[in-house]
Amino acid sequence: MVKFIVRRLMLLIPVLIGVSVIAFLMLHLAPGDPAELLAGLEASAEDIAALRTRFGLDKPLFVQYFMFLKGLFDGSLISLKYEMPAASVIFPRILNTLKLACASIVVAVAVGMIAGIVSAVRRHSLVDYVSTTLALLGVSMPVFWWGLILIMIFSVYLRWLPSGGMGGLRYLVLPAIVLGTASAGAIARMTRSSMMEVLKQDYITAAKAKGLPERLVIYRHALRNALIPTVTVVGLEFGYMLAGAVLTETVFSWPGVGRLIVDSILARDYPVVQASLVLVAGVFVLVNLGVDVLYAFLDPRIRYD
Amino acid sequence: MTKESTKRPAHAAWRRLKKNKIAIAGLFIVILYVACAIFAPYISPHDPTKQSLADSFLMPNAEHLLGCDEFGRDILSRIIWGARISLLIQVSSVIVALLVGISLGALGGYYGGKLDELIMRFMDILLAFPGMLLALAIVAMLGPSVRNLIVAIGIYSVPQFARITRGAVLAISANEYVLGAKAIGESDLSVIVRYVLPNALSPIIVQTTLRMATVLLTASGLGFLGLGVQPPNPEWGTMLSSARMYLRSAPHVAIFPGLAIMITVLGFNFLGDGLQDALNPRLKE
Amino acid sequence: MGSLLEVKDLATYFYTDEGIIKALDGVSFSIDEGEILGLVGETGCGKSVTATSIMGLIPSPPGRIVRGSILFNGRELLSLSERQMRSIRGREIAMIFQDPASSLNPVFRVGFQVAEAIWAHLKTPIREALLKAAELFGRVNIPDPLVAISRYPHQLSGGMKQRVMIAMALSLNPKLLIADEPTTALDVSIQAQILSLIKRLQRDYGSSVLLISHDLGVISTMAHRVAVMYSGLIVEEGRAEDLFQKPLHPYTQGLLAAIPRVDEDKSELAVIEGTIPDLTNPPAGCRFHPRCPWVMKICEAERPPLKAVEPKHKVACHAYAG
Repeated sequence: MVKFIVRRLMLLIPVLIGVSVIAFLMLHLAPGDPAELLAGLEASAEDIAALRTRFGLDKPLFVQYFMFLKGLFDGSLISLKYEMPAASVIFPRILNTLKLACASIVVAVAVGMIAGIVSAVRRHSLVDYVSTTLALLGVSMPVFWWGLILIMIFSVYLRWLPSGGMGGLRYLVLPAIVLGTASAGAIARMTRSSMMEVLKQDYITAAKAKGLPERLVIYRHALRNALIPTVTVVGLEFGYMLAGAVLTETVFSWPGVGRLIVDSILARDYPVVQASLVLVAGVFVLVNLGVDVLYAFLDPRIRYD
Repeated sequence: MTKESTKRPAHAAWRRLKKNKIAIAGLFIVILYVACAIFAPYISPHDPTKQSLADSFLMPNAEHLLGCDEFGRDILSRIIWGARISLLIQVSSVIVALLVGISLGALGGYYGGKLDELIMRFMDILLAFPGMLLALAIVAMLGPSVRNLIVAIGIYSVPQFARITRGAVLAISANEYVLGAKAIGESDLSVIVRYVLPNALSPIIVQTTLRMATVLLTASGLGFLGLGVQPPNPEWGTMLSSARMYLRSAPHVAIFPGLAIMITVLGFNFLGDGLQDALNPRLKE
Repeated sequence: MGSLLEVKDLATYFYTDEGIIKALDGVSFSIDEGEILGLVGETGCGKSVTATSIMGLIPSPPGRIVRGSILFNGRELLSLSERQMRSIRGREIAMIFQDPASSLNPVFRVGFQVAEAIWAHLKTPIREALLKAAELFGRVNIPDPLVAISRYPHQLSGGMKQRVMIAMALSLNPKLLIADEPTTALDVSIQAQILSLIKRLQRDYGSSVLLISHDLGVISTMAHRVAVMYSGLIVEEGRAEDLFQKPLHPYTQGLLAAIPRVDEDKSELAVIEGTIPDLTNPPAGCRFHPRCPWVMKICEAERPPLKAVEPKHKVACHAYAG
């Protein structure tokens, strides 16, 4: 198992290097002089020249890349807007996003798995049709619109919940539902199809032939196997939430990292954009690694290969 | 499978698709959407960009079926014209993704070895940017415009197609008829195009349809963030972006463009699910 | 000795989009106590459906038992509730499946899967049940039983997996063991071992066995009596020696002629002409008539009943009428 994790960690290294190269090159692939891009439209020639030396833009590309990497870790990569190390700007934002993502994934897993299991067990029943339709609706809903609709209902008309900002648990409810809806749909769809696939397997007939009660056949024998592909989807969805929260964060003015990236793009704060891309991608691949480990834990065929 | 035998499965698939009510509903929505996009100038009741401040925030009525927005523009007309922009973005970016993704996937799968390794690692890197982050980054780099949006969303969809094609190519290129075709001296390109790709067709068709849904969500999401199609162009996400300021006084301005996105996405998802079942009948019980 | 199992006019249909598949359409046979009945026929003739019908495990929908009766130990299984049926499954009637690789749940240790069967009926604490499982493993010749119980299925060979399935089937000392193609998925070298194991255990435990196979070789080494199935019906039934020495039904004769034999110097194998009939739209009259070398006018119109033409030897064929 340890070997498995180490092997997967090794595979991550080239991916992370690639990610950092892409994030780094963003500034250079953009049309125009990077120094002018950084300085903004109203900058004077001196400002541009100062920026060029400050960011080492006059140095060879690979030197700049290493400066960028170094800056990411030692704080010498400075946000243009906040005048402080990019990593320090990003870190609290990532925590905020994580908080939102955790709440959302709990909602999504609870709703999605229950709906998926019920659908698969009572397939072609009314419950199944309702739940599969709702699941597809959830996947098809534009998050930002869903957020606005919920704000209209619960904040504007009913005045039950705040329409945005961060604070107590009350502030978390709507954003968590909105961010969790699409994932709940995806998880429900995956649980249903993998559950149905598993219920067709010979070992399910064999388990029934042993005289096990239906309940145990479904919740012990079938669910344990159906969980394996479902876990992948849950992990993927959690990863998407970390970054895909941009839209939810925008609707609810949640100070997360997604919102930070968009704000920084609009403010041309390139160091923050670049650093955020690397950090978010880093968190994402680590979450995926965690999923792979969990996957191996659930499936002895992988665990003991 | 050669040409004669790919035809009959297509017929069988269509027969199965016809029986699936939900898939047909999806097809109907998609056709309606495409028709709106094509015939926008003829069917939209008003000029989508013509402002009339007297009509601002007009509630739905007989003249303006879905009401008017903050500048008094007819929302229905803007939604109909919006279909045009969305369809353009969807089709062009999916074509970009198909061309690049299929080529990379087929090359990797067919030749294997170092080349395959290289291509797939590159795809892993692209996939390490979760969700719409990659599209967001590319738009940020190139600046927001319809063309850049197409490039960004196209690139962000490449890995999906590359992976599917590669998988299908790997599964098929060990088959005897492919080896046979190689043995009688057909060129690699001709083997790939004539024997290998036709077998990857059904997963690609399904993925293309489902991807249309994702792409629409991403494009409108970028529009909502102010990084997509720029106003005054009537893109659905962009329309919602300004509407959110008036939720209290004029909710209809926000409701209808969102409904348009949802119904269209639902249509593509219905159709994609239906195609999946119709093209892979063994998946159905 | 009386009959342990008596199946009468059993019909199981599957209602699908393509039409009604009449998988079983009036199957009758019986098994005495301590007897091995071989059920033989080509793939798709309804052998496995017979097994799952007896177990009450027909997937429904689309499947349904539409008529007939299954008397087991004097009880009508078709009128039992699901709960009552559950107490019979695994305890009184146990089953061994064709493919041990897919019949064991890949995510649970094999010892647990056997122990679970014991627990399900006797509520034995799982720790005790595991020890019982190890004991059973020893009895089916699995080496190092105490180690083997903590293996996962993928860590065992096909033959070992089938031994686990047999241990599981025997764990509650069932009166009837249904073995559905127990050796088909195994290597030839393992097949004989598994068969002799089943035979030995059958003798030790005194169980009855319904042995299902398409392989006449397997049936002839194992069965006391044989029933031949064709297209959802029993066409011939008799003591093994009678049936193999003097097959009556043209289909049985065809099957036997199709076996290559060492003692005969034949350059060509006999094959039965034609294909297995479509079960959604089976031929009228005798279902074998389109392939039958003896076909008569009556065969196209009337289904021949299964009746004894010699002592303890029944056949369903118009050629033996009168």
